[in-house]
Amino acid sequence: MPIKILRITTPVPALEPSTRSTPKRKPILYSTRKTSPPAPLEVYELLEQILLLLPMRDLLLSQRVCRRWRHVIVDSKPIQRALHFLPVSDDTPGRYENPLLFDEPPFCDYFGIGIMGDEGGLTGILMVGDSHSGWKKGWPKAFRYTEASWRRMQLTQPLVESFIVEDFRVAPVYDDVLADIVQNKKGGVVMGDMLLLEEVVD
Amino acid sequence: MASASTDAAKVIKVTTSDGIDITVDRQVAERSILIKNLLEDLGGESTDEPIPIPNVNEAVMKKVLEWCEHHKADPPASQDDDSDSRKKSTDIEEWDQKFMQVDQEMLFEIILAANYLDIKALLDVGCKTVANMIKGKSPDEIRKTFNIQNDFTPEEEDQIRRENEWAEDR
Repeated sequence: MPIKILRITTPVPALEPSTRSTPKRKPILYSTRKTSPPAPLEVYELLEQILLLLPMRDLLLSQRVCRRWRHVIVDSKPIQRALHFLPVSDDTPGRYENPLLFDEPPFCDYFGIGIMGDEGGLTGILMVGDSHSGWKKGWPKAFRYTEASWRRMQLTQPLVESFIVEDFRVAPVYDDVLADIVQNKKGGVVMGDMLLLEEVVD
Repeated sequence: MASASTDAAKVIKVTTSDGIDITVDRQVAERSILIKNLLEDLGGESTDEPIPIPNVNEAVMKKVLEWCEHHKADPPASQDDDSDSRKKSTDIEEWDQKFMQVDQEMLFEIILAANYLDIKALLDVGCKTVANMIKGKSPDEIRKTFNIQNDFTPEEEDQIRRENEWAEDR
């Protein structure tokens, strides 16, 4: 008799489902809970830490997932720095260029970009290219939107305020063919300034 | 009591949120900075008292301790390795990859537990695993994967799409 009562009332299995019912992701048992995203994705710091691991393009596209993701990406300083929207501090050791400069067909042909040092001297050339393929097709349409996010990205981190552009088709070896120059741009030279290049070439 | 203190220093007990006591090597448990600090605060006296871990259930705790056991001899992580935000490799060592082959619910439980217990290296592995699930997916695929509602108005979504459309084509 007592045994039967025990069987009916013992709540032990209630704890079990959380461990036992999970082999297949069938959220029916937990429908109220599982209609929301996994908890870590609702915690700002954890979502930020996850997003920071993404390559630039995945990170940019992730802004469209939902408001929370958009908010974290726009709001987080480390993420904004990783996207080159926000300059890193000047005392950050080393200087590196926006990876887009090398990733994107519109950027990687023809040009050398010189970074002007503080005294006006050239401190380094970012890009060298002499391939003629690709350019004639012009910039893909989406690159030309005035609101296209790449335009706002810093050319290098930490920022530079001046750069020169060289056209290596004209002078493949000697680099004195100064095609264009952007100088003393407060807030840093951004990738959008590269649109100048096109006019230079045309 | 005093003679037991050497033993107590080697093995400790934790009590999970569902009331289960788990006995574990102190060295293993101390991968958790939370537990380590608690033990230090206790001064090594009453370590035979179970430490309550109210945020982690038995299944998750066992999984976390399995990770701690395997990594108990790892050198402590260097503190300033996140200064360079560009070093964002999502490579995961083989054992950890296998370890993380669990259903999504458990994966996220492990992340929460690692965060709560302050086990940075495990949190890293968890975040990398999730990042790898996001990589290469469209926003819509990401929403489906994680059961996320699209709460943008069509206009808002369109604006964000336009800003980043150039990044879509690979």
